[in-house]
Amino acid sequence: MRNGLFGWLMKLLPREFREEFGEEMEMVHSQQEKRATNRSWRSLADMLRLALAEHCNGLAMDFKLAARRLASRPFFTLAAVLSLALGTGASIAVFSLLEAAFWRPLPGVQQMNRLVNVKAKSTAKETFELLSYPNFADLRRDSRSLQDLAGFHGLFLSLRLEGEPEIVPAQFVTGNYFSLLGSRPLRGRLIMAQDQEDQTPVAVLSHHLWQTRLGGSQDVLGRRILLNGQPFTVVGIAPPGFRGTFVGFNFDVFLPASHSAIAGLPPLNQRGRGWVETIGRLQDDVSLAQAQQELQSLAEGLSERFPVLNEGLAIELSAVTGHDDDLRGGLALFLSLLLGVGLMVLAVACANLSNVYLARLLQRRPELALRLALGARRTRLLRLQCSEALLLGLSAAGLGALAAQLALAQVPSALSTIDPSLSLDARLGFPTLAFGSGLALLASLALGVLPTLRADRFRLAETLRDADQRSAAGSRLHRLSVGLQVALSLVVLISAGLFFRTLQKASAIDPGFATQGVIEAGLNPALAGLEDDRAVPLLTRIRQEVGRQPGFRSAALTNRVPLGLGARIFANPARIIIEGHPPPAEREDWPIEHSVVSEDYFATLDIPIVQGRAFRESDDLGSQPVAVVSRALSQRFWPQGDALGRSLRLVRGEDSQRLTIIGVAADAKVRSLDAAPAPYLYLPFSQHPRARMTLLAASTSADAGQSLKDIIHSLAPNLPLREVVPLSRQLNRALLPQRIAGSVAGALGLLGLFLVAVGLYGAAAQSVTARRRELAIRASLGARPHDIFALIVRQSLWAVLVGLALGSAAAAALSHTLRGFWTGLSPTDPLTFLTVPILLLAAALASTLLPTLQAVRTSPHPNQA
Amino acid sequence: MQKEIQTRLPLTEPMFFVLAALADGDKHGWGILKDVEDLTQGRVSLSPGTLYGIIKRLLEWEWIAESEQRPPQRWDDRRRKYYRLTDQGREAAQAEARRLQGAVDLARGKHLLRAPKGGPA
Repeated sequence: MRNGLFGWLMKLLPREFREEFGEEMEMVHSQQEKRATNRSWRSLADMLRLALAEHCNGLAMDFKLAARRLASRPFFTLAAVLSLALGTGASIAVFSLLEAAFWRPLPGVQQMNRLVNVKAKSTAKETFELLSYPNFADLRRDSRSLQDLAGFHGLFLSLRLEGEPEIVPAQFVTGNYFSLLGSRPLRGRLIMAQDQEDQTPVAVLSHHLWQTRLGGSQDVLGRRILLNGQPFTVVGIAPPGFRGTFVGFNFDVFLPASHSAIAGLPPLNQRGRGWVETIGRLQDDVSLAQAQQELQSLAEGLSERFPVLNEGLAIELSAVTGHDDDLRGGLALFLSLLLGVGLMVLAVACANLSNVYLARLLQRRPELALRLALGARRTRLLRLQCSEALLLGLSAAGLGALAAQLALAQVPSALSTIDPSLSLDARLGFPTLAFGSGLALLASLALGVLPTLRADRFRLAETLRDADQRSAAGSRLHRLSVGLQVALSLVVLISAGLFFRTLQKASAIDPGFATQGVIEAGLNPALAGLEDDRAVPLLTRIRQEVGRQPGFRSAALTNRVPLGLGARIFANPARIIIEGHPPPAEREDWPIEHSVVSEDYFATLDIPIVQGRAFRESDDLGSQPVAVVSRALSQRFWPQGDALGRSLRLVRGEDSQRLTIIGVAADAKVRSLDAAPAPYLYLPFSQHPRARMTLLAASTSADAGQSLKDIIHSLAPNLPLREVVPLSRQLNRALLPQRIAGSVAGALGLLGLFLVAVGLYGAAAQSVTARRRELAIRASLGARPHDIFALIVRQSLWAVLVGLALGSAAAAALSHTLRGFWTGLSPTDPLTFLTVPILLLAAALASTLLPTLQAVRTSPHPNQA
Repeated sequence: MQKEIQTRLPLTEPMFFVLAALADGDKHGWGILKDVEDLTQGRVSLSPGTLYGIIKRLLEWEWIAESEQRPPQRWDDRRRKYYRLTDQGREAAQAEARRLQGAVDLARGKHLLRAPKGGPA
């Protein structure tokens, strides 16, 4: 038996070893066996060890050889590693963004897959609404399909640790919030049910705030802090990275919902106003659909019990994904697009390098054929090729990972330019590195195996006999891969082109208001602990004071910054009834987007008043209610141009208010840059006062931002200022995705173009070399240089043209899926779809031309060839 | 060459014994194996795996070579290969022996070993 085992173990040895020593080893073994001792078990173990050692040795040798071969061609190696590294690096970076945003479990949350979002929906009002606290409490009490329901509300609070107050993102949470999520405190304790009942002013801080603002100090527990001017005691630190059920947002302070009054939220016993965002945890044996059914019937019960306040209340359950559904879709699409671009560049780089290898193998064909004939093994050649490819792939992945790490380090600052509370912890963790290594292996496999297999197909042994026929087969393969590369590069370049055209178009779009020389500052007096009755006069005083200062042309207040993040994400329709214009089907009123603005708003933003007048100081609570409408609104309802003096009815709950139109303003874009001008309504701040407004100040001075801060500080020392930034930043933010995608796709597309050009150059050069004899004969038979040129070019040209056609079709399909990104641009923008292929064609021709010109010029005598 | 040998010292015990087995004449694998057993009074017994791993390594290093001299045909088995020690291999074996000698001298100096009878102290 042991002999049989020995024979079997022999098979584990590398073939070369077996052939060299196998017979003898078996002889020695059987001689040893004759003297049968128990040593032969050891001998079997030795065989295993030998097999392992020999294989490792062989591998080490292969890698050493491969490294030497690569080192002997430094330029090729550098180009190969760089092009592969860019492809892998881009893919790795985008992959880790996707991983961080979509696949990583939420920190500090247990069994996320059993969590559901509980959203309220009013069938009567067609809008999503948050649950009021009493509605939430009733659902919580009555639901059997959910283990529990918890509520929260995120907003900004003013936090004072020491010195100046600052604005921090915070969450009011119900007492069972942390226990429902299954979170454990890092220090102290989290908010508990008792806190809500006792109304004790306690706060839990985020790990991030504790580390960055308190230096991770150990005596944080029991410390008193001021939130919106009210004292709270710190009782615990949340687990690191904890941000509830959201990805991308940070919350720094968690408070019991019973203290919501400090932020001006409705009292817990008010059923009419919703503010509680709700999550639930499914019972173990209950499905989402079953829970949905139960909660829906509970909601209907609430509607019946409180027909006025809960009119048409409905509940919609959805799985907790860590994202707002709208944002999630957009982000996923955007990141997938970038990932696709990265992978495409990698594919082009691989196809290209594979061509270079193929060309080399074909050149070495006679030599290889000779070697094979002399007994070299095909697998040995394959192994050498593979180890070279693996070395290239791994170095490229290493370099790519490094580049990705550098790029990812920029993500937090890029996100904070959008909004300071945005954060995404994208880093190179295990999944990303596994993905990167996988890519490197795939790329290596493509580089190592494909060219060898392709070369194999030329039946190497025959190559000694016939030299010319093969080159035709070789170039056929070449053409196929050239066509593929051209198609891939075209897709990338067209995407880049479309992004750039979008940016170009967008910057050419007139938003209808001044973006230069205007500064915005969000003012929220509630954060300084001011009630509405004191907040409104303060806001007016700040506006008047700023407007009076030298260096400021004018100042105004608005509750909605045009093209600001809020305006772009959230609709803000007023319900309007217009006599003589029945509302759309199944509605009782017109939903019309609106802003509340102070006097001087139109002057500050340079929005012309085309008819009538703007708001004045005299339009106050004691005077006739007035409104200014946009030109689009006036044209929609009064195309004769007689809107002035007409009236609208503004619906508020059960009441409505009659407004007289006193002015028509030119159209300004508020919600989106590329949408057509929509009817818009402006209401005067003096008649619709609110405590939270944004100050807009027009100024030509360079340090206007600082003087604005100084003025506000002098009037309201406790008022925390979140951001004082130029209005132009809103526009930049609006186009940030396009800008990033455009630059990435552009850079990668150019790289792809370069790679294609190099590939074509190589293909043409190889074809010219392979056909030297034929070309020389043609030349001596009287073919003119341009005939020869046409001959060579025609060969590659077909491949390029087919590639262009395929690429255009693929690009058009892709562009159509991504049409949401093309601001003011058709998905098949003719300019992009014409110029990019022409550019690519020109580049292709140029790179084919060079080696051909050389061939034509040198045109050797047939006998020399 | 000397330097190359030095970098490969110390040798493993089986490798040294293989070199030693070939020091007094060409041998085939089984011959080497038996010789090593005899030299060490059965203490060291090489398995085919160990032996041929060593032989391959020594061939690569050119410390041994395949011998062209074979026994007369009636005793010869064509499947067998005979190996001989090269000059370089001899040098290596000598260098290893000197190294071992140095270790033995040191042990004697520290009275860990007694000097053999009749030899120097």
